[in-house]
Amino acid sequence: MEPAPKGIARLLQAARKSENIPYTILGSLALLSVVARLILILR
Amino acid sequence: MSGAEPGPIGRISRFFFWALFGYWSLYVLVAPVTNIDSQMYDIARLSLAMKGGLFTSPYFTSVFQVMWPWTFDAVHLPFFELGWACALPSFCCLAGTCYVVFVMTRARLGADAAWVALVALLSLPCLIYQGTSTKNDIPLLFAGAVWVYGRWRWKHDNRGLHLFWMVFALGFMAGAKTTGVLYAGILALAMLVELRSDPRLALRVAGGLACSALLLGSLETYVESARLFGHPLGPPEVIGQLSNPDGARGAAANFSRYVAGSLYEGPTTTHSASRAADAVASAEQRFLAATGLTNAGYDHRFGDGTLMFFQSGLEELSGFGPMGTLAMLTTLAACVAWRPKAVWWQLAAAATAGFALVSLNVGYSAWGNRYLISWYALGTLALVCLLWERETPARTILRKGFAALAIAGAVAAPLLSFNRGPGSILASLRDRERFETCSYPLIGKVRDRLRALRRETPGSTVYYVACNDSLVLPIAEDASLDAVLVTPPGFADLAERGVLRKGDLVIEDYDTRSPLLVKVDEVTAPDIFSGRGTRTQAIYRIR
Repeated sequence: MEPAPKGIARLLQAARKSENIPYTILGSLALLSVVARLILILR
Repeated sequence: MSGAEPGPIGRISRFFFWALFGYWSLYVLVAPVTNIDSQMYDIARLSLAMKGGLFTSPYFTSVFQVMWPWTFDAVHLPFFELGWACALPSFCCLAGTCYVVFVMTRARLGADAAWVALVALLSLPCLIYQGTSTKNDIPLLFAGAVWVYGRWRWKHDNRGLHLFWMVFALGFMAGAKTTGVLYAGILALAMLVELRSDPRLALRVAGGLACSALLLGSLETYVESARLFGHPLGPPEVIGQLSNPDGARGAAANFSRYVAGSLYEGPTTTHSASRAADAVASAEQRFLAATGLTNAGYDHRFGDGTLMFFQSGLEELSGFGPMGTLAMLTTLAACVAWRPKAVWWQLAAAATAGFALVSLNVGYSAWGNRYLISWYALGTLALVCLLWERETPARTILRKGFAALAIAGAVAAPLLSFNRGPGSILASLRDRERFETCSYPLIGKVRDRLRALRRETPGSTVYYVACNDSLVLPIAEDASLDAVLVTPPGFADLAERGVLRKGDLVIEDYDTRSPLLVKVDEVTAPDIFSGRGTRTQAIYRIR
């Protein structure tokens, strides 16, 4: 029996499920936003 | 009710949906930043913040570059730096919204209704234009859709994960746009009321909301606004200018303008309309005069004297087409027919509340249709529910008519836009620089002329004395110009310190009347907003 994925692997597996598409889009946009804002603030 | 597999209406709608989705995907991947507001502040401030950060930056030239929340605008940074797919974040929001609509409609009303609902959304011109632009209006609709979807799934399987995403969506909504704070606040309150029977869970959700607001609420722009303007929302006079100043009177006037503006009488330009559209505007002016509401509720820069309802094909100045007329009629039907258990009524009532909120809070302007995209989407979905929730012979016929109208509208949306038709995809590839300034060609011509003048005097500096509404992005991003963007006080300071040198080039959107300036050229270009059809800008040198 394969061990259940953990951490980022589990997150990526959940993100690939079609029923989670809206969550995946929102999470990706939010992640981009946080990183971009940090970059812009710290310039 | 249709089953899981679509019938003829569903299959035809599915074909058109995917064909148009493919078309819009291509457009989004190749089109540059063409949106006027983005060239003023939404995306322009990313370019300026890359030079000087957000806090105490000397580079910002407009209060709008600081005062508006930027959680969604910042998402564009990698695409903006790449130079391609700048509108992909908005398109992802549109795609995510379509997914939610499809899944929830199919579960309730079947596959036919689901596919028709998607095409109907694509037939709302202002919605699809916003979904393929770099503006920050569609993330509110998307975040709201995720919230509804999360709640729907939470009701089904009771997993806390869905509550997490609902909370996350509200943070994103609040950070995307100032009006999003209002909607997110209302939905957060609704969430906590719904969870009141489980105080521990409600407390955890409240904590999550606070974290979400901290992470995604764009608190930094509020902090910088408070530091610069003494108010976290921006200069009080600017906030007052953009808000409805007349309370309930203004809200009533604005609501009636939105209703009149929903009537579709064919395409317009950005400064003239058909006789039918003029007749509707005149009727609305007479109605407002008769009810004593003339000029009530306006953004201070506009008034009923120039009232016009646009269907222009420009993202900010486009209405919602014939589908929008039906959506508004369905929305209004909720005001006269009490059917609280029917889903169509619930959606229509929510849309009515949304229109009322916008009417109450936002000062009316011809540029304000984008504030309504969520409510037109809800009105459209309400009509889909009304047509599909029961089987009757009349409904069977009406569904076919509705689907045909949705398909015609969705196909017409790119064709009736001056910068989103098939030619615009070619222009994005072949003539990208000109296409970038297609909404305001003058700035493109000024840029070309400045390049030529700078070549004549190598070493000269280009100064752009910008106002709040200046389109700074095309100039700021031009490496060959290496322009210095300044406000009038900043320009006066440079003059006083002797930084300006003889031969330096200056363009100004303020009339500074500086004695240092001597006009060397005047550039005229086509202008879609001006009644004359052209607009002119002077170019100066330092004497």
